[in-house]
Amino acid sequence: MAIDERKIIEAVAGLGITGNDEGLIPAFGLYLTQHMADYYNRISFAMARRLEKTPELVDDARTLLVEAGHSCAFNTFGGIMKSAEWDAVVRPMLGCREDWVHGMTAVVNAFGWGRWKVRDLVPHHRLVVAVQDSYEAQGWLRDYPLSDRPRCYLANGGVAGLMNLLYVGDITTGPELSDAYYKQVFRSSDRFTSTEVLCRATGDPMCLFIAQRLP
Amino acid sequence: MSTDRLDFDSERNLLTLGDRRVVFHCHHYNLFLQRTIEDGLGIQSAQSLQVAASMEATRSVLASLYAREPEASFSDKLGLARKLFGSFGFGQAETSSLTPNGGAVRLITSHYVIGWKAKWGAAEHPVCYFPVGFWMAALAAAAGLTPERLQGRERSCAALGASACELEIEVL
Repeated sequence: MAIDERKIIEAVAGLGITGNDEGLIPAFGLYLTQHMADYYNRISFAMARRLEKTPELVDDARTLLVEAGHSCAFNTFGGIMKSAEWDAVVRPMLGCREDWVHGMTAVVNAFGWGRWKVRDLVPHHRLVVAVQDSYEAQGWLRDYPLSDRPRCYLANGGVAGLMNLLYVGDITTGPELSDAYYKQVFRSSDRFTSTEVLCRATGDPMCLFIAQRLP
Repeated sequence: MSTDRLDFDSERNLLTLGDRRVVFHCHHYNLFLQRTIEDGLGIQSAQSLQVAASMEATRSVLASLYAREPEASFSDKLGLARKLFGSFGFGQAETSSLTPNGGAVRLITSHYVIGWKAKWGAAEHPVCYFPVGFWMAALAAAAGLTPERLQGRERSCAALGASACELEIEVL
């Protein structure tokens, strides 16, 4: 594999991503923030905990928050993979479609989300990603008792989204990231969904995600 | 006192400021999540939660930064908060009307407004929940006030067509 993760992380870190004179961070065709993980965790977990008081809403809480992760993957990962920065740093390392997965996880590893590592990738079929130091799981463990269910909603949506961008849609052709395209990809009958099969928040040693097509 | 240097642990891929984790996210996720919380809890409850979460997260970050310079004045501390706000990409804030007894913050730019309008056009209600909590926390920390003494609201929001966002912070 031609992907040099360390080089990608250094290149992204070297972009000096910080607010401009207007207090904004336009990069990768997006407006970025360097945000407080505690904020995301509190609002996500508080909503989940409140909805989970009603047994019928337990799945709804997870679905809503994972859908936010899908949106993140579509727009953020998609935007990055269409950006000039991607073309300059990552694209020269890409030899095949699967390299896009490894290239994107390398970029993610510069975002402070913890260490993402691709454990297994079966083209068109399956992606397994292990995450150490997930900010979601780590945040849960700091503030709440051990959970009876996984808590890495953003990462879960992100892993599925990565596969959907590459094997349901085709981000390699640079499509417009419109609402219509989102629905086409993320509402497709053969879309990928991800399951967090291990989570630090439940006491597991790491967080582990498996993305597969809908049965 | 610097706010624009994050520590990056290249072994674990962690970004930190003081002892707090910092993560990159873009306007799509920030605004989608904000709207998701509204969908899940209703607007009033979602607004209260996000302002409170912002205060909590901001206070811990600013407390560690302010602790490094105990001699800093109220004005110096607000300056640091403005720098943090801008370097993190939340927008450009003008705080000359903010005093230890409360006042107003004007957002010349706001990430949340730009993000909301880019995704969904004009809003039907103010959208700067995070900035309201941020500036309440900044005032509390700079003036040595307990957070319970503060109330804040967004008096006008550029997402609804105002020329700038006006945040009002009252000290009880």
